[in-house]
This record gives sequence, structure tokens and C-alpha cells, in this order.
Amino acid sequence: MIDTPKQPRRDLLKLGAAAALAPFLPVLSREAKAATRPPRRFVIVFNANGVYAPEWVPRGEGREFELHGSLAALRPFKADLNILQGVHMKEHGNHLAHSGGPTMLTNWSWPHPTLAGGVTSIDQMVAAHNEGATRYPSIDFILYKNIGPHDGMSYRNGQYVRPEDNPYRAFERLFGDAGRAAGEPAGLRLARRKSVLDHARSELRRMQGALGGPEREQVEAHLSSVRELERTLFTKPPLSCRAPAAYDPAVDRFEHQNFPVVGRAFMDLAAAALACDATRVVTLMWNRQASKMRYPWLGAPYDAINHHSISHSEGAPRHLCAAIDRWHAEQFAYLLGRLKAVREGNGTLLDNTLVLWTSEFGTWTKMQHEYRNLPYVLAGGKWHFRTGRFLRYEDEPHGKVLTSIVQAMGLPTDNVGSTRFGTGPLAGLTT
Amino acid sequence: MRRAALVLLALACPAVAFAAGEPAPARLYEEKIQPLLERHCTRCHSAQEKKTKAGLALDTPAGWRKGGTHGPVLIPGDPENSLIVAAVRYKDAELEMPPDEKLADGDIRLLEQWVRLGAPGPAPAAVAGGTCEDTRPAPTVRRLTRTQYENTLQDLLGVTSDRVADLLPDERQGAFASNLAAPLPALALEKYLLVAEDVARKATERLPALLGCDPRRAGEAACVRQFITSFGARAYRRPLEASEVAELARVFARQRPRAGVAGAWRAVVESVLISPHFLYLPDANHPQVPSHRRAFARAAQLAYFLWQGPPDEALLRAAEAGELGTPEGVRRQAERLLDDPRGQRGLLAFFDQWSGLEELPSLERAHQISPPKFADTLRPVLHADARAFFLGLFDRPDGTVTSLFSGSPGASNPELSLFYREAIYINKPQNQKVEAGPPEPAGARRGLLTHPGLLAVYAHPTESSVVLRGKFIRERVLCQTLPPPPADANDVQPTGGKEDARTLAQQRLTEPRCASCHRMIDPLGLAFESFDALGRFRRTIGDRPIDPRGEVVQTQDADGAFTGAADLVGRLSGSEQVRACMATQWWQFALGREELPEGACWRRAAYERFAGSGFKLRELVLAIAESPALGL
Repeated sequence: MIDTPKQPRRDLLKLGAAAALAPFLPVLSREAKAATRPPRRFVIVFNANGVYAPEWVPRGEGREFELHGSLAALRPFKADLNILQGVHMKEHGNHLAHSGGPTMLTNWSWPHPTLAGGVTSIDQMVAAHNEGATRYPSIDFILYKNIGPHDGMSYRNGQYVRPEDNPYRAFERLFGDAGRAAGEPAGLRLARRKSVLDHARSELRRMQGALGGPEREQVEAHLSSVRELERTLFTKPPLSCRAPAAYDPAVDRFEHQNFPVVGRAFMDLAAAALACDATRVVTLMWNRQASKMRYPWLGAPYDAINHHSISHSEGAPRHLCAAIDRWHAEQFAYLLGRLKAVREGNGTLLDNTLVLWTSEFGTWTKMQHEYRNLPYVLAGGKWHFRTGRFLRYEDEPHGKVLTSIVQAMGLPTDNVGSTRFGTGPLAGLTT
Repeated sequence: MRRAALVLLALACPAVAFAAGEPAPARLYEEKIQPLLERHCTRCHSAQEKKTKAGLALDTPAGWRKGGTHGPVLIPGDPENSLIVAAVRYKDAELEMPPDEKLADGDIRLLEQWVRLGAPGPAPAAVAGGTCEDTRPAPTVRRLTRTQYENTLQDLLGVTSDRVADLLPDERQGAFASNLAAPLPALALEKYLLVAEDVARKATERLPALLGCDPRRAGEAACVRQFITSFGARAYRRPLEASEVAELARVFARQRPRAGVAGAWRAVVESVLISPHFLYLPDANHPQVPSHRRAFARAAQLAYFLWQGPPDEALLRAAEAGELGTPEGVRRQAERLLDDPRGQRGLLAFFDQWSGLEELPSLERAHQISPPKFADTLRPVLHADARAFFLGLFDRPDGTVTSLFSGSPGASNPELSLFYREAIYINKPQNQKVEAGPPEPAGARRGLLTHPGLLAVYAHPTESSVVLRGKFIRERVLCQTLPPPPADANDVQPTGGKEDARTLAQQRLTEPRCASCHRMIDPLGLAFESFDALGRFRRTIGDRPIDPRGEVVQTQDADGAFTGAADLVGRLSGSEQVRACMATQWWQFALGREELPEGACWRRAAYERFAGSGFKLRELVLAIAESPALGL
């Protein structure tokens, strides 16, 4: 049996085309502000190598659970959380030991030989669902990159969504005005950009007419990128929008020692971008699958420790793994705090956001990677989920969690990715 | 406490040597397997459109390595657990292939043998039947790589931008950067636009020179048209159509009233620099290229291969005059390009990517083994030294593959010779004590593979790496494909800091799943254990002496025992397999593709010229540049 993806590329292209008919309409976020309820946002935070279970898994069950050890920092948000155990990345099939990353948000084994052109991860499904509503369909950040172009997690129509790795450039795109530095009035630059992109579009259209097959599709995708860029560049952020402090480009963002500063800059940008409704989807990758990130600020001996290597080593490094997990929980708590600090309607930004924190490997006890017991922390999304719980499951396929998430984000679908291990949402999340 | 985590790639490599009398693996595919697959399988399972049933393509190595919707179709070296073998045996009624009739027993045995041998693909520079005209590689469209893009800005406008570093990273085909037909995301386009804006802004400082005419004298409209015509032709690598000139002139006219001449000029330059005609590089024989532009596309191909940059006016003129239609004309231009100073850009792009030395400038090495000087001073010096050695091979009459692997690289730089001749050891706590070790024995190093820069790249932060070094030789020097790790492979072997690399390698041999590949990889890597993670010579590791003996296995013509790196290098440098592999790597670089399924006939012709020159690298590069397989 051959599964087919739920979001064929042509539909997405059409969506893009429809949105592009009106690239210069007044910002929809203004309408959203006027509407009865604020828009719903979706955030994914990823860090690699799973987590050390004994320190991480909460004690107790259901509403009666205790956050201890690695997750202690999340106590202030206990009522906003759903923490899951017993979910298994079955679709990955374990045929390549370190390649769970691309399956994580797509529920397709990877590389998928026939469906590559149609595979879309949940963040991009939600982004496509909101296409045209904001300047950016999604904003994607990454800190530490291992070598290798394709160990990502987000895919749109089979294409790896490349995240931004430079917080200074990200600030510039979201809030800055690069032209100002060059002493050029913003209006002039805007006008020039319009005619430059108009020109690109008319060239692409001419090419499109002369082509067929895969080249034509490529030109179509290029055209839809032009439209997306126009929306990005020519939509003004609402005046109420407050920019965070700009990242200091003198801080070397590749130096491991600086990752806490870089990460904080990205989280501040993420919270601000969501608050401004510049986007409704943010992904933050602290690193990529099987990350070799070091954590020198945790007192780990600089050279001997990289996360991937210690997550395999017997003995002593367990406490270091737990320390790394704890640090990431603190960062996650910081992000939740930023979202909670923004007032929106009668509540906070966090009330209108669903935040997923996960990893490509499970919660482990023995020093080896597993795809069982994936660490899932869901925060917010209270309009759809009942929260404040620790839920244990028996070996459920992870596609169900993904389905629950996209349903929470308003997509009318009862499956994400492969149907091999069952469809529908994960039971017990909404009740 | 010292903890060394050595990467252990438990690969499913062919474990069984082929018996006498059977065809050698290099020919097995062409002579037996390919015809068998074509007869029985590829009608439904090929990479061609609408023929890829169950997602499976059995006509390319990439296809059978990737597998289909049922998962991996074969496990190299392990026929018993390979789906393809199960399917042709008709053991499972759910999966019987071919569906109409079971294969003859002899054919089934052939497939089993092929899988057992690691499912080899076509041999490098394989000889194919038919005429060369029939086997030209299918054309592609590539987007410029970052290097090519930056070189192009430099050549066209004489400026570049630090924002080039923000462009999204290139895709890889094998060792090489190549952006084969992947849709361009909006973020990538935005980065191109930001670079274009920065470059155009900087270039306005040289506006009068770049314009090439005086608007007040020649008349503004005429001057702008003249600029668009000449700049556009260099940027699009062909004369512009009249409609294209008019459209760019309109961009100028629209901006002119508010932005002035300089601002309007910037709009034109930016439009050109983000144009698809600028960003994409189609092969000359691509259907997208109309016949009157073929010669120009061929010129662009030559220039982006040999210069990693755009054709100059002389090359475009040669294309226009039809000179690229004759072998002599192409040869004249290829030689001119290679001998031009810009020719180094092409050679170095190949060298840096093929060797992995591109990583050296940013290589992190552990503080406790690395002198502070390594990062600041020595990394660039090592890199420059290795590059100079490689470039030197193109000027010398003996610049052959053999001298690449067995010549003596540089070390003329005093800084460098201090570093690795006197072998400074600073493995002392807190980097406090620096002492000079005994000088390196003469003959410890031989050729590129013992260059300290290369040895440093294929190492871990604190330790040399047997596996990384061995893998580099298998993949990039011998062109052998090592399959990905099997299901339950654990990629790190915990050591507890006690065992040395040889003991660990021996442990890997006791586990059959690991052994099948590591018996290929590890002996090669162990040969270089006399060099540490910075490429410095050492006589002992801790207080244990280093055993430099080993044996090469599973090559076509380099098998046998050796003692130490220099001896191993001697075996490799005379190997036909190594020479053929060098040619394969250059083809991959030139075509921007890892798989070279068609055009074998052209590659053979180029190889013959290469061989005829005594395997001079210069002749190889020219033979590829001039080969009709590259276009036209």
C-alpha cells in the first residue's frame, strides 16, 4: 500500500498563488486585533539527543504529578503543561540509527523515495494554513549546526526549510532597516525593491511559459518565493510592535560559550515576532539531530564533552546529561515566561500559543538512543487541550501527537504523514 | 580523566572476498548485473518518470542504496537480509519479483553474489557500448554556488559583500558543492537581494568607470542602454534579447525621477543580480537553452568549471564567433582559462572540497593539545601550504596523480617547519610547558595524505581518528562506497580511556557487523597513527610504541602488506584504481553530480588522454573541460 501525503505540493502552490493576488493589502494582523479573538500561534523548540529519564520524567500521573530534577524550572508553568510519556516514533523504523530528525515532525521515514516532493512537517502545515495572514509564514532559527545540509526537522513540500542562524540578521529582517545604515531614505529603497522584484517576476513568468516538467515547477516555486518575499518586505509591522534589544554582532555566534546569549536573543525575537503577529509559527532548533554541542558554561571540561558523545558513554557523564537537560528546561521556561509576559485580550500571549518542546530521541536510561518514550512537553494550547497533566501512554505512534497538534491549530485533518501505525489524534489530550 | 570517544561506524560492508574465477566486482555490474536488471527489473523500477514503482529505482547506485517504499531494498554484504533477494527467491507470496515469472536460479545466485559483494555500481570511467553521442549525460540546471556567486560579483563589479556569508549553504553532490534543481526558498531569495543591494551600493562609488560612458555626453538613455547591453551580457553570460534590454531600461526609467542616476542604476544592477538568468546555470544541451544560445552556455560552463566564475569578454566573443564549435577552439579557450590567474580558483575549489581541507580554516582542536598559535597562525599557514602544493602540480612537468600522493609537500614556511619538523609537544596540563620533541625522521611523510593539514582535518578534537582517515581514503581516494550504518549501529565506542586505537580496531573486528566494513577502513587509518590530531609526528602514544604495520584489502590493484604511512602511500600512488578515482572525482566536480550514469564513453576518452599524458592532472582537467560530455 502506498500512502499519499495530505498536502500535495500543487495545493500549497495554489494557496501561495491565491495569497499573492493581494500582496499589498493592509496588514491582516490589524484585522486580527479587531476581531474577537487573538490569532493562534505555534512554536516548536528542539534540542537533540533525548533526555536522561530518571531526572526528567515527572513523578506521579494525571493532575497529580511532580516536576523534579531536570524539569524543576517548569514548575511555575505546571498548569499550562501536558507532558507525555509512552509515545514511540514507530514510523522511523530505526533503519538508520541517527536519522530521526526529519521523521520527528513529518511522520515519514526519511529520505522518502517517492513522497519527497510532498512531505511537509507540522510547523509548515500550520504555516501554510495561515498563509498570507502575516509577513512570514514561519520564522525558523537554529544555533548550533553540525556538518551536513540535510539533518533538519522542518520540511515544506519535501524541501528542507533552512533556518536563520544569525540573530543579528534575524533582528534586522524583523525590526531593523538595513537601508538606514547606508544613509538611504526607506521610501526610496522600498520603491527600488518593488521594481527589482517586479522585474524578477516578469522574467520568471516568461521562463515559465517556455518550460515544462520539473523545470517549470522549479520556476513556479521560485515565483511563489518572490511573492512571499514581497509580503515580507512590503508589509509594515503594526506600530504597537516593540522590538527587543538588537543582538550584538560582535559576539561570535559560533562559539559554544556564547550559545546562551545567542539562544536568548532568538527567544526574545521569537516572542516579539509572535506578539507583533509578524508570524504565527516559530521553530527554534538549539542544534540538529545527534548534536555535538558543548556546554562549557555548565562546567563541563571543554574538550572532552560534546552532548552526543556523552549521551552514549557509560558511567560518569549521566549527571552532565541531566545538567544539560536541566539547562534546556530553564531556557524553555524563559521562553514560556516571555510569552506569558505579553498581555493579549483578556489573557496572555501564551494563552494563544501552543508550544511544543521535543527531541529526536526518547527519554533514556541506558546510554543509547531510542525512539521510544519521546520527550514531549506541550505548553499552552488551552483552547483545545486540557492542561496541567502528566500523561502516560502505552507505545502510541508519534503521528498521533502530531495529528493532535495540527488539529489544535485548526487544521481539519485526522492524520499527519504515514498511516501505517494508525491515524487520528492521541486520546485523552482534549478531555 | 581522559575520555576518548572514537567514532565507530558499524557498516555493512562486503565481508566475503570474491572467489577465484568469478568476475571481479568492478566488472560484475556491467557484465552481469546491469543486463539482468535491465531485462527483469528496470521496466518498472527505474529513475525515469512514471517508472518508479514502489519508489524504487534499480538503474542507479543511488536508487538501490536508497530503497523504496518498503524500506531498504538491499543491505550491502548481507543477501540473507536483503529484500531484493527475498523477493526474487519467491519465498513470500506477498512479495514476488519479477511478478510475471521467477528468475532462473543462476540469475538469483548472481544477484546474491552482487549483494554479498556490496552491490557495486559501474566502475569508475567504465567502458560503455554504443557511440559517445548516445551516452551524453542528461542535462541539468544548477544554481550558482556561494563561491561562484561571490567570484561573479567580484569579476563583474569589482566588489563583494560580507553578506555573502549569509547566503544559505550549498547542497552537496558527493564531496562537492552543487545546487542541483532545488526550489529556491523565499529566505534564500531575500539573502540574494540583501547581497545585491550591498554590492550595488558599494559599486556606485565606481559608477563612472562601470557605466563605461558619460551620460552627459552620450545622452543618458543611450548610455544606460549601452551599460545594460554590456553588463547584462556578462551577467547573463549571453547577449540580451532586445526585450530584456528594454525591460531593464524601464526599471531605470521608473526609478530615475526620485532616485537619481545612481539610485536608478542600482535598481538595474540589483535586478540583474537576483535574476533567474543570473542565478541559474543550465547545461549547454539543456532543452531550456535555445539553439542560438548553446555556444554561450558552453562558454559559461567552461568558465564556471575552470574559474568558478563568469566568462570574460574574450570567451563570450569566442562563443559568438563559433570558435567553441570546434575541438581546437574549445582547447584554446580551456588552456587560456586554466593558465589565467583565475584558473587557480577552479583548481582550489576542487582541491578544498575533495580533500576536505575547506574545513581547516575553522577547525576546532582541543585547547589542551593545541598551541594557541594553531588557530591564529598555523591553520591558515597549513591551508596555504597544502594549496600551494596542489597548485604546484599544475605547473610542473611531473604534476601527476602519483606526485600528488607521493611528492613532498611544502614545509618551506619556517613557521610550519618549526611546527611539524621539530614536533612541538604541549600535551602538558594547562598548556604551561612547551617542549620541543626530537626532530621528525626523514621519510616519515610522503605526499598529500601525510600533510599535517589533511591529518588534522581527519581527526577528533583531542585524538587522531583511525576511522575518519581510513574512510577518507576509501571514499575519496579509492572511490569506494561505504554503506550507511545498519539498524542498531551505535556510532560511538566507549573506551574508558584505556585502550589504544589498534586495540579498539581489533575489537571492531570481533563483531561481524562492524568487521565487514572496518576491515576495509581501519588498517588504512592505523597507518597514520604516527600523526596526532594536529598532524604532528609522534613516536609513541602515551608510553606505548606505535605499530605501523597493516594490510590493504579489497582494492582492485593496491592490496598487500605495508609498514607505516609512507609505505601505504607508495602502494596507493601507483594504483590504477586511485587514478581512475581521481578522474571520477573531477567529473563529479565538473558536472556537479555524484552519480555519473551516462556519458561513460566520453569519460573513457578523457581518461585515455589523461593516461596518455602519464596521468598529469593538468591534462585530466583540460580533457574534462574540453569533453563534449560537458555540453554542446
